[in-house]
Amino acid sequence: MIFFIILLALTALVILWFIITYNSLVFLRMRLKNAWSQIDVQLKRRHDLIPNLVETAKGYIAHERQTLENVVKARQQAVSAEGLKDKAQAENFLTTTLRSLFAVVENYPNLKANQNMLALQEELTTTENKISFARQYYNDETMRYNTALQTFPTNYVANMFGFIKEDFFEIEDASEKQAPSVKF
Amino acid sequence: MPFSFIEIEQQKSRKIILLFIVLVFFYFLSALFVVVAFKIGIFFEAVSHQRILFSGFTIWPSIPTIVITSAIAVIVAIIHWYFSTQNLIEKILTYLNAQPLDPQDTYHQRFKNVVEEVGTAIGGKKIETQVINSHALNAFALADFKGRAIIGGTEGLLVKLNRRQLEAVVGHEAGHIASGDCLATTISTSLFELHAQALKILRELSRGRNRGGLPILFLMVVLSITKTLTFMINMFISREKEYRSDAISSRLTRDPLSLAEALYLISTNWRGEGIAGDELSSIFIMSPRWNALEESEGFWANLFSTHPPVQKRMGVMLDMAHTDISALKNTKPDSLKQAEEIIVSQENLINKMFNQQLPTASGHYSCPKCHQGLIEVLYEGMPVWKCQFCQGYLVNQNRFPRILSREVMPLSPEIAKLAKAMRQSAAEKSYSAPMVNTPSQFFCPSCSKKMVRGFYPAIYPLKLELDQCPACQVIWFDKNELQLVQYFSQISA
Repeated sequence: MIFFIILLALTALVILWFIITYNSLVFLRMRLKNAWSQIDVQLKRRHDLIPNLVETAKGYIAHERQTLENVVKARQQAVSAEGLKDKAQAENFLTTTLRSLFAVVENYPNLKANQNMLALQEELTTTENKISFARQYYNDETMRYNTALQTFPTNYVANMFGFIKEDFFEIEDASEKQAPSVKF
Repeated sequence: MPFSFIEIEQQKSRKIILLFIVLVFFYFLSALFVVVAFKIGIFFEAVSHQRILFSGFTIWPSIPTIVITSAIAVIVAIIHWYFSTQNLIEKILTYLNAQPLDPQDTYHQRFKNVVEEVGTAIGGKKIETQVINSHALNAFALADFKGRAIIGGTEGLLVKLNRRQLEAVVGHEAGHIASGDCLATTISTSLFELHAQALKILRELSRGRNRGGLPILFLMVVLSITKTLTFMINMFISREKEYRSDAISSRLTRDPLSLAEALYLISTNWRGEGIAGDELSSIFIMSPRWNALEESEGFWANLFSTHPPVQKRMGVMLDMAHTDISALKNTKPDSLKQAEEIIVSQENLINKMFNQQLPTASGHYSCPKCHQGLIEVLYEGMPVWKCQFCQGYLVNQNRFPRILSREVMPLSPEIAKLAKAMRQSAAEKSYSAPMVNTPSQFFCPSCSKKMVRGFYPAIYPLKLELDQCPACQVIWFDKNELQLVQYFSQISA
């Protein structure tokens, strides 16, 4: 009889543990989704800003068409990209082209002093920062989620209910990852 | 790592309950004190009149008395709590004289963006922004039960810090909000410090009418009790929270050096001693009032101060950045550096002269002097209207004090010369013009009514008359007048 009661209690305990673990995993996954939607909002915002930027810059740097066309092309790619990997790649490309556009703008004092341009530049700076902060938050959450999936004994629950590992939103920014070249 | 709000909620409510218990305990003690004092009074009166007290009289309160006292303490605490936490944020904001941001203002826009960025970094929390019109350097954070959060800065902070430094400061304030101690700080501020302030005003009022008397004595007692309570609350709000928020800030922005720079700038500048609400030290990033206790270590300093020594805070951040104090030596307000660059580079000047097309007049206002269209330009980051012909400025009255609290644009040597001459002539003549408004010769560009000519109170001793329209809330500055006013206000500050 006593043995039976102990067995029952143990089973109840195990079930309770399962429930708590499962719920915490769901919780982590929801938070990850929320973090991703944060990035998405900011990326959309950036896409919306670019046509304005190109329109403003057009009048001043008409003969730098290549740069402007690159930005437009990169934006189109970014808008139509699907899936995390593709999206990350397209956004990185967009960042690079935008950076080269701003480098060009530096050479045109008229454009640089344009009120509209100044406002747009501030707007883009803040959006870029928000994207990187949102990405930082997303990656932190992803790390937490992935760690939970892989650590013992949570990994059993995760396997049983089909929780899968999520990818990080990585940057492949050429200027950041390259080792500095040293010249003698 | 407790960065998401859900995890912090439990911690938060625990803190609030503790705060409430402290309040109840305080009222219990003071009620007990009153009972004991009353009994001692009876005892001495009985002794002096040689009356015999009934048997079983003790000075110490009996158990029923204690029960009743604690019940009263709980009720009073609830009432106090209820009234202090109504419109929690609004009350403190009014007290600090904080204003919402002006969306057309460049610096305000930047501040708003920075706060939104940091809000994204802590997981998409919506944070409101406020600004205090003062050229002091300080920032504060407030939060309430409903999860509403506010980060505010002074005008000086918005202008004198560069974007990274501003981000670090906002990150620190967001750290208070994210870790949940901001709510406790806001409540304790509302509970005790505002209370003490109201009593102080009351005391001054009653002192004016009749000197001495029982009510004033009573008020003094209450005031000193609330002051003691503030001390107790400062004990409760440990200085550790500042270290923690600094750490959160550098974790969010990944930039401890900028925070160290910002702390250095704030600590070496005017932090706002004397502005409204400067005694609410616990909500600010650094106490507006400098005191020696705060800059020292040890048992008493830890017990009674709200912030740790700034040097230690900077030291922690510099350690994180793998550098030392020498990195801060050249820290100057970024905008000043930019201003210097503008003066130095002649190329820039030539570019400006030849390339900049004259902006066309908006046709919105016309100059009261030469009746040409005024153009909208940015002056110290704020839209104002300028006459291209007589170089006069039309400024919105609400924006004018903000211009005075910014010192970004370099003032030309001519202005300094002119100001000196004005000051000299004022000293020689030493007449005191009455501070009355006279009708102006100009008509308001907005409503076409006659403007009023009068002194601006902030710079009154120097006789500079300005034309204003009280109805449309605009001020007209003749050539150089705006710069002169700015110059005088900077000298006197």
